[in-house]
Amino acid sequence: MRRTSAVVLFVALLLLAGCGEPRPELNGTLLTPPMPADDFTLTSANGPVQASDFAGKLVVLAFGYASCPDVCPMTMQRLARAMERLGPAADDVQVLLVTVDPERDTPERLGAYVSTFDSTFVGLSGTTAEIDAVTSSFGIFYDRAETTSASGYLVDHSSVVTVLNREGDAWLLWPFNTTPEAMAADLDYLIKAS
Amino acid sequence: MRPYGTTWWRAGLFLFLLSTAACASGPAAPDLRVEDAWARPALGTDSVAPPPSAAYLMLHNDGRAPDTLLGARTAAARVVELHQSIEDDGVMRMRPVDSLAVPAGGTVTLAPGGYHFMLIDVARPLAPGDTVTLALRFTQSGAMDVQAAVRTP
Repeated sequence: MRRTSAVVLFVALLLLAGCGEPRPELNGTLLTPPMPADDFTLTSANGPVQASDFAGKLVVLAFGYASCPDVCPMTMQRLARAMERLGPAADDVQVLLVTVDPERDTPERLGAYVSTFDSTFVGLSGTTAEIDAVTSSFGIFYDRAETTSASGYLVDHSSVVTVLNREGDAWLLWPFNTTPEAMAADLDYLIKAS
Repeated sequence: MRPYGTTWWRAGLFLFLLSTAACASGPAAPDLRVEDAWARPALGTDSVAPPPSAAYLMLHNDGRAPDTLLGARTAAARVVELHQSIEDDGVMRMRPVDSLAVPAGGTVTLAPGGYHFMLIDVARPLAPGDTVTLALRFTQSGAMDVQAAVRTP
């Protein structure tokens, strides 16, 4: 099911890549036109959060989980650095981390996790059905991997980070290795362009 | 009583030990050196236990024989596992690794996004400035203690 949506997104991106002007000034992949996404309701450490709560801001949407000690901190650290580089313009941007491990990541646990990177970051959890609705809406693949690890299970997940425009539509995609400098430059461009 | 016999036996044992020591420190042994060991902070709150941490290092083998890293232990976490992060077509996967070869004259790097130690169930929060002692285990070199500084990269 999730694999299918990942494939659908991939095909959609291939089609979209043919549209619009080339954007050498952007490091990420711009979706033109932006891809409409469903509004969602998830739960932060401070209560329910809807995507539309951030209308008027750019939303940086990352997926990960607190029991991911290597890759997820890399993404969160890069986003924190990018926000630092943006300076006051960072007020126009909200970073959200949606868990792909709703079973272990309570809103409190994920909230504590993201706040170690940046006090403005918001961690979002929910029921498995709620998480599945959001991941399929954004073409995010995730799957539990049963391994020999003493941590119980690990979670494979898409590493792409999505920037939503001020209306909440998917606008720009960053692959895993995007640097903080590249992210800050893209955000600066998108803030000024909208 | 056989005093002369005992002396000869002792001399023989001494020479035997000397030759063994010479062989052990000879050219065909691994000679490991660790550089830049560090671990990620793992902070909890009053109501939330800290998440797992990860530890990284560079492992040089200046010797002329290979060695194999088998794993590590630390008082700072219940379990330490050797893992590898792999990006596969836009999907990140993390998998346990049984061991890691350290070739003669070579370097193995445990770094973000690749090989790393996962510290599961940390005993206490790990804050920047703390130090984690890792007891590495090798097939040839046995045990080796390493001090990993807790910091953000």
